[in-house]
Amino acid sequence: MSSLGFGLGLRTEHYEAVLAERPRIDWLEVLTENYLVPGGKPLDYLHRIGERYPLVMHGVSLSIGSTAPLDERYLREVKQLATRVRPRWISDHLCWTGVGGINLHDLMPLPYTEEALRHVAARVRRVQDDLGQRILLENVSSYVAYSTSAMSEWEFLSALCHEVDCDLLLDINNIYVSSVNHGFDPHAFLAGVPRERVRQFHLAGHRNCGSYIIDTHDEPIVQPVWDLYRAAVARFGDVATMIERDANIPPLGELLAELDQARRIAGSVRARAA
Amino acid sequence: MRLAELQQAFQAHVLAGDRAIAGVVPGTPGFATATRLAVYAEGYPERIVEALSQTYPALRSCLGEARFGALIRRLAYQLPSHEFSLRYYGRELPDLIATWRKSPSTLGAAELARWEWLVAEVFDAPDEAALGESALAAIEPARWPALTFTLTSSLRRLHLKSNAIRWWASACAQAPKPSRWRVQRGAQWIAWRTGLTVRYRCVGSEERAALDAVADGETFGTICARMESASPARAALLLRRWLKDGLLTGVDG
Repeated sequence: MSSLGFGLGLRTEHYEAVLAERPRIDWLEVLTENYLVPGGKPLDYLHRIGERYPLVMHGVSLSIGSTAPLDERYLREVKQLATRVRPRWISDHLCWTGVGGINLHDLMPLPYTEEALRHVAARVRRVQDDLGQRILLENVSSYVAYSTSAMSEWEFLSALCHEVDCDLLLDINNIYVSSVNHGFDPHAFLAGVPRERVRQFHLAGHRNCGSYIIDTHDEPIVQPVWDLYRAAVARFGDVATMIERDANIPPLGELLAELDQARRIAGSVRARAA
Repeated sequence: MRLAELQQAFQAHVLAGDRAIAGVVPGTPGFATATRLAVYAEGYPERIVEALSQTYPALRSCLGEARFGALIRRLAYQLPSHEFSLRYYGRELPDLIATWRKSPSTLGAAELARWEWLVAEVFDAPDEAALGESALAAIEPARWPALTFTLTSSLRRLHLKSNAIRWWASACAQAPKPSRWRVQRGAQWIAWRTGLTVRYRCVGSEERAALDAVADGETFGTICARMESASPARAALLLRRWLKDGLLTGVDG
């Protein structure tokens, strides 16, 4: 399957510019929850932009790792939105967001245990059956690891892909952030996940606090993340790549310049491989 | 620690400062266990404040950042979200404000919050085509008494006893705030959407009763008979205004 190319996360600040300027973006990733509404302006923009660009849906509330039951209403609404938007794929995060009916609205990391693996695999099967398609799961940035974990994050992802037919969204920034926070080699992460399952990359900025890093998505991408992206392209090849900016949103032109940087890196890796 | 127990413990840490989770979270010299957990515990209320600043921008502007932040943090711990989207979290905020010491500013802030929540509902209500002004022209006069109408599902109504709308409008326009919160004669306000535009205005008692009757499925004839003026001409004027405003989406009968 060919890659979608180079995309951006669609943000409200850029709605008008995307429609008026028709920028050179190959595709757009939309935040699923922002469009789980009955009608109005967000959906209107979504449909107009969707007529011009391929879209993918990226959610934050699936809570695939939670021990609470799956939110049936959420799944139903995601499916309805997907029917209207016809995204190229649907993604969410390998995490949990709350238990006991509560949503902390955060991407909480899982312990990498056999128990969690079986639990997540069963829920991925259920979600994919419901949605009628494979989903992509993204690695999250994390600040805690658990002493109960029996494997690394990449071993867990790899085992999950072995258990169930899902795909992966590798967030290159998140790999870097977690590698600093937990002291692992980010290249070991890249080497440890199955090549054929990676369908999308995220790139983003973060805040360096000295001895640890907070994933903020409010700054330009830093050089170590670009370097890791270069290694990811070398390992995984032509994978759809996008820049994810969630705060301190700059003018569209600044993100397009960053996207050109991604294009140049991927091009140079391909040229070297040829 | 099993998965369910771990998640309950972590959530209890974020919401109530429970320390049990620390037992399974190793720290490092540069990034201690307490600091690691604090990223989640401190990030939680800040994320909620940021999200509800989008839902309640005028309230935030009127209360000021510090007071608004304290209010939302209280909400976040007292009534955590059960919603899959932050867009739907915060409905209880007006009730929380109403627990403050009774005063015009408490009443005003609670009503402002109620109004902003209502406007948010109007903003993303279902898309509907409004009935055009010409829609009734072709209906024979003899059929009019039996006609029933459908109001736009985006229509919301709220009875306000304060000058909250003035505070809201000034915040939206980034204009100077009113000099003070006032308790005043109660008035009914409506908000609705035509196309993508949110509209609002005040309605008098006669129009309010007529809107009630339409919502209850009463016929045009009954509405005329029930109006204070009992005048078909007055009812026809209201109907024309509703058509012009885009408040009606259907006619039957």
